[in-house]
Amino acid sequence: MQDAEKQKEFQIFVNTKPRKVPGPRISFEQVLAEAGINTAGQDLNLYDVEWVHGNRAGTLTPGQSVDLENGMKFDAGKSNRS
Amino acid sequence: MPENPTALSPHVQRLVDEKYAVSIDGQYIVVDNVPYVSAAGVVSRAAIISAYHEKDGVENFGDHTVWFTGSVPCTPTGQSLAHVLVADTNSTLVAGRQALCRFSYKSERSDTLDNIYNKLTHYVRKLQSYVSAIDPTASAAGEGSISVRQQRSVFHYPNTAVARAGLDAYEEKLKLAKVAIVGLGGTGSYILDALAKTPIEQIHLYDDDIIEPATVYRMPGALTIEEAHQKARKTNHLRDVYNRMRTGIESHPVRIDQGNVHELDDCRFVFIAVDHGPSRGLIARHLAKKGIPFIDVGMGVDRVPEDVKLIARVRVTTIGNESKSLVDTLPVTDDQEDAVYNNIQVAELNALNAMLAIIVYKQKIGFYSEEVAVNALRYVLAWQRLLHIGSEQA
Repeated sequence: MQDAEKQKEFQIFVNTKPRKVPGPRISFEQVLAEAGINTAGQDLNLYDVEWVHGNRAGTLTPGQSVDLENGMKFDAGKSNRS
Repeated sequence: MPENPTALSPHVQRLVDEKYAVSIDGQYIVVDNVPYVSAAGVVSRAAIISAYHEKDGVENFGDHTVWFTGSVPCTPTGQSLAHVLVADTNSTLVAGRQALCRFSYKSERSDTLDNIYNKLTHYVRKLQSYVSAIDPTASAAGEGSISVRQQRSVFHYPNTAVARAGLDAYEEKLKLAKVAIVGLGGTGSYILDALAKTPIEQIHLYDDDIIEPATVYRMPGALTIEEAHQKARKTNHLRDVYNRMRTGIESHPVRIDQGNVHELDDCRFVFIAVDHGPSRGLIARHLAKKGIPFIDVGMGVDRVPEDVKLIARVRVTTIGNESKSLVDTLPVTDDQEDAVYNNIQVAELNALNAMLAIIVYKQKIGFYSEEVAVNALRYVLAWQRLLHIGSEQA
């Protein structure tokens, strides 16, 4: 944990693609940006952000953030189609 | 229409002629008053029940097993016949009667399963053979009677697998009076496919959209080229398809708005499977206010252009009295993104979204057990994982 906190950059995956991001935390909005999603003029509540790391998993909503760890995977996108 | 036999099959008639007390009750046939040895030297009486359905002279009575409303039969000296005769001692509700065990006794005779008369008298004789040593006059034959109780059913022909497995008490839970599906696109039409095969009395379909060739690729079943191009209302087409097997599908080729949302007020459950965010919001808020439980579904598929692959996620949000706050998590704004070129949909993801919703629905109405309550569920395809949102797993 000590090492992880000191670490400046984290290697993660966003929508399956590798990304290097600054630590120690990443926000909902940053994940969308890393996913290349243009949210200009869009309601952020249209998007879901999920993450997994090993057996752990969680969700982010607008304004929320999570502690980064190397190898974390994020999924970002909408779930409003039927 | 549910069939209404006017004449008994000759095999059932023979049971009556031989003075058995016979009832046909929905998908079962019952012979009452069958003597058996219940304990050392004691003769008791109980009913033998078999799955039974007759249509156009063809009898269907399941496998060689029958249910029995008595206790495990004994020999005249009180030895249990459990190992000889009894396959199962789980108490089960069958044909409105409590069956205490299920018999499985294969006969040496090759004609035992030729007809229902042979099947039932095979078991009557087996029980009788032990009774005779105690009371030679005891017999299942008495006055000879028949009663036929037609079960009112929404189906044009019965699901014989339910009777065969003795699942009446489970199936009963699926008999909701009225359920609605709002939105009959890919996901909604798969929801209908599963719901139509449950004994809900009325399934109301709401959608103002028409069928086009592209939509057919996301629907269960297959349409002819003429059907795909005839621009029929989705709800009318689907009603006509599922009316082939049942009654009670109601088509409403309209969009739900402020003016007609009250039509959902007497629903026991509602599925929202719409694209339009404001409609989702209107319906969800109305249902939450009225205390009507519902499930909102949605999915998203995106390109990963570098890999020429797709990623996707599927969402099932279940809202009841204990999860009303989830209404605020639903995507209710109007999505400005182009709905034609950026709306990638694939049938298996529609189907998965629909079936996850159906399974959760069947948990909420007590058909499936729900050891862990999950009201917000996400499936992330690239991870092959189902995530429970809200119960933070970090």
